[in-house]
Amino acid sequence: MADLDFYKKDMEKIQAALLKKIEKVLGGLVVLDDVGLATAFKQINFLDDLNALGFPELLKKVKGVYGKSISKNLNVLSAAQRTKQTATAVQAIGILSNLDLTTISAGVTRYANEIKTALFRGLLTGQSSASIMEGLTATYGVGKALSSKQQTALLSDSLARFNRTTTAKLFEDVPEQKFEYVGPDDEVTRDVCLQTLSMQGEGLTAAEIDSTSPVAFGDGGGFNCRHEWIPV
Amino acid sequence: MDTSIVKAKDIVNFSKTEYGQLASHARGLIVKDMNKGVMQNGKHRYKSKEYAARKATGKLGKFRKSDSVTMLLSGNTKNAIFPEGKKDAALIIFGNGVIVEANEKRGYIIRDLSKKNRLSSVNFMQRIVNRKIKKYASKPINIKIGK
Repeated sequence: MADLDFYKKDMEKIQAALLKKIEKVLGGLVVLDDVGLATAFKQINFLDDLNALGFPELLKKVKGVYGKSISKNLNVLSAAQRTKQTATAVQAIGILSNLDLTTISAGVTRYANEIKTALFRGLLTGQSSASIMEGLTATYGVGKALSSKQQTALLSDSLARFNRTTTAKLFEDVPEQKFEYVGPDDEVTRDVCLQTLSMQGEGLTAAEIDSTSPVAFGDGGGFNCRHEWIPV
Repeated sequence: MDTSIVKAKDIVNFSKTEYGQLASHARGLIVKDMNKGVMQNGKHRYKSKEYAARKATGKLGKFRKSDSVTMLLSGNTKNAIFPEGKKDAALIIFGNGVIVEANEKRGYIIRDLSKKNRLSSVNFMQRIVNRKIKKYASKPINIKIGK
């Protein structure tokens, strides 16, 4: 997962630090009675801890994948051909990239709440500290939940979908624009993608893709699809 | 559909969206070449010593998805290439900058446009101009004579 490696590594560090912190406070929690536990849990918010451990910085890093890093200016036009117009399509694409990041944030909030619930459940049922930590590590530890392969694949798929949507949005006012379906043709390629790769000829317009292609513009062949429609 | 009136002087001026379309087109050309193993400096077939060694043993491992190594192994480098339309420029952003630069040092360049792709991009802009000329010419012109 080349470019998203940092996400997995950073998230694993955050998870490890959070579990270490939970292990420390667990010693104080196991001696409390039910009333004391209820009072203590009203004050616990693991989302604050995740923020303190660097989640906002990680989110900024992910945002960097969307809009920073190295760039290439296409100098195919002279300065005299440039203008100062604005366009809504470009603004809409910016909003979409922010919404994708909101989805990641929502996942972290859910993670924080689930850990809190699991911890409370373990204490209420009288489990030992070691048993509780074992359960938490197995479900929410390094390589699980937020740093799992599935989560990284979700992030990767989100970037692919973002690209497809960007293309669709940029050309929505150009119905005559043709697109070519591009991507690998190998043993793991879905049948619908193979079918589309072979049927396109000189390219298809967005309307033709809608009416004749087995794959949708924004979805490609489905989750984690490596194919996309490119303008020709 | 955009129904705004096109002024003659705007025919050769480009909006953010049009610059974005150019960037998207150029990005597509790069991605298409990556899929074929063609680099933007004209180099063909992305190969590595690791690939050659694995191919010889018949154990391709992570390279199994392709009969030759391209810049599209996992799709993440490709997915992190974004077109961007500025008010006065078309940009292609390479989010996976470290990988792209490391490959550049080995001669595998995707952060550029080959002569063929540059020509295609110029033609693409010409099509935008033609589209605007057509739109401009289709507007009725009322000329008032006298009062």
